[in-house]
Amino acid sequence: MTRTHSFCKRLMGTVLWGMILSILILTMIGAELAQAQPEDPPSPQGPAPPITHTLVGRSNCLICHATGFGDAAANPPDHVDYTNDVCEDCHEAAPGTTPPSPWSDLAPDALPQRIEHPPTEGKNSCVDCHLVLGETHTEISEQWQESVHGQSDVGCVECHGGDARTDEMNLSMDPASGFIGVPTRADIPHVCGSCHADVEEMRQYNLPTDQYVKYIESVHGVRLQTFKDVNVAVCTDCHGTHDVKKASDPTAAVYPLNVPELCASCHADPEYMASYNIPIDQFDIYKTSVHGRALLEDQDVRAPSCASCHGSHAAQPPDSEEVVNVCGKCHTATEAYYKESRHSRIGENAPKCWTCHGTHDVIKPDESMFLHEEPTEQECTTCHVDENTFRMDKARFANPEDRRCDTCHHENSMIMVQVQAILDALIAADASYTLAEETIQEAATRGMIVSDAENQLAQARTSLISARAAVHTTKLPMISQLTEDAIASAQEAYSIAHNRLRENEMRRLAMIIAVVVILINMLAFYALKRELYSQLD
Amino acid sequence: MSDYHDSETTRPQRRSEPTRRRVLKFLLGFSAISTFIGVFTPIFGYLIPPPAGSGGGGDRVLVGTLDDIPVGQGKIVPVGHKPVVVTHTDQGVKAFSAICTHLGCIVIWDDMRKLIVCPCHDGLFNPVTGAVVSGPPPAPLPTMSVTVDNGNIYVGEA
Ligand code: FES
Repeated sequence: MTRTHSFCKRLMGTVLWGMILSILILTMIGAELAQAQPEDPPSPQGPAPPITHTLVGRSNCLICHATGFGDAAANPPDHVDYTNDVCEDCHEAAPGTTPPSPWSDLAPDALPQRIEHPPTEGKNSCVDCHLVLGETHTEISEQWQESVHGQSDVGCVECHGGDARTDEMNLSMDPASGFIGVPTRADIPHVCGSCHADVEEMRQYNLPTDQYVKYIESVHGVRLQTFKDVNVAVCTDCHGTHDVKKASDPTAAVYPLNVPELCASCHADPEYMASYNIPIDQFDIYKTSVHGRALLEDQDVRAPSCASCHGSHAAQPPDSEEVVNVCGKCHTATEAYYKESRHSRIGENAPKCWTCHGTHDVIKPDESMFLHEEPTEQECTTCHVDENTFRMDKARFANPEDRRCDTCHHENSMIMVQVQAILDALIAADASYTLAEETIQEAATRGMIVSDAENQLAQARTSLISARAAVHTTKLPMISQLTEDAIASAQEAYSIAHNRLRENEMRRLAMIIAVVVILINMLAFYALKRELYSQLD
Repeated sequence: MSDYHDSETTRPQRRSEPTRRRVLKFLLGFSAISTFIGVFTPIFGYLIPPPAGSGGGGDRVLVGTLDDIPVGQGKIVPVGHKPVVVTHTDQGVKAFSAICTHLGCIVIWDDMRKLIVCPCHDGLFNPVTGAVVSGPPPAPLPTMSVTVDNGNIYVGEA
């Protein structure tokens, strides 16, 4: 009993001590937590003093206020664990410390004025400091040094304003010295345009100065200016910020070979494009097109990228009316033929390049583009939006399989008779050409000289390619003339090559005869030798 | 006896001798004729060349006179089996292969534009250097050597 009583006493003592210890630990943790929550600072002695200097370009309060650097007020001891992101919870910027955009009053059709700043006198104190501040500061300073701007001595103040002569931060980053800090996205075209639209300034670099005006007119610029949509592309999205490179630098995002991927970085992003309700598969389609393959696989910088048809600074999908001129910029011969055609004379509602060739999905054209494999059923409204207008229904031509002559022209129409005649002429010319080409190849493989046949074949090729281009005129006599020329030259080439093959066969026969003759001669000499030896014996 | 034996042993030889001799003579005659043909065929072949040309060697070929191609003009001429475009500009007479470096069409001289033009895809070439002015050709037209002697224009391989 005594033993049980003493055990209970010991147990209660242990529990009591445990409770006291727990309360102590919890109190300490609570105090610790309370200290670690700067969001709930202890109630200050009166209102927090307002910020008296500009906040433009200043995101690191503690860099000066932690110790009271220069004339900055040092943090009170109870702020010791505060971080930069909580300062503005209590300290408000005094009115006038954030200057308005220098371009806030810019007239819509005016060019942006330069950022006014004191002369640099060959100095760039911004980089002197930021280069050694570490992290982002060092990184962007180094990027600038390597950039086309850094290499051309275009200093920080040209884009950020301020006084590049002094290391005194309050002076160098004083709005009174034109300091604007980090420009807003809405201001970026103005910042870049303030130099790049300046003819006098750009003359020394031999750079165009119309990009700003083009941008303002572009679909990006209009959305930025009119709808205040800051998600649209601005200069820095394509050219970079501190790391701007020349467009001729193969590592630049705007180098021709890199342009499709650059555009796709936004335009193929489903989330980014969600609110614009535009397709996001253009890049994937373009990659498989004849244009995309030439640019991306063959690395032919002359092949068209997105910018070649849509414009770069003036980015805008070309109007149906403009397509002929857009394609004709490169396909000059075809454009000239098209302009001779009946199609082009129909005007606004005429079939354009895209009607037969598509847009992003242009493939290498061939004779299969004339007719559907199976005859089609057509109504007027198959192609035209309604029977009373000639307006083409674009959706009708979305599928490459439907971009055929008999998509629009009725099977029993007079036009289809002509279409069929054009197709037959091309098929016949192509067949003659192919036969001649194969025969020449065979003769060449057998070691025959076929340069004269090749010359005729080149003539046939010239006529055949011209005939295919002339299809854009829709004029049967012109096309037939060219296909007849192609057939005549191809037949000439074929007959030369064919004769060479016969000559080759004759030579083979002659060689066999020669071998037989040689064997007979050897036999004769052997017999003669035996005869002579037998006479000697 | 010995005569008999001699006659016995030599008779079969005598009988076979005319046949062997005849065969041997025939073979030797054939050999002489085939050797003659073998030696003289190439000589005749050389003296009477085939109607088709040789395909154009490195020799220079007379393609016309300065009167045929005055300053500001150009012309496509055959050199061997190859078409060549000869241009005459302020900087003299030049010649280039007339095979377009894009898809191998034969170029023409465009007298309006004073340029070498490929009719297939409108590739334009400089008449002085053969360099691509515009269009799809990926490379200049290969240069040919030109000499002008007494107003005669000769073209050969570069
Ligand atoms: S073949 Fe000459 S430009 Fe195409």
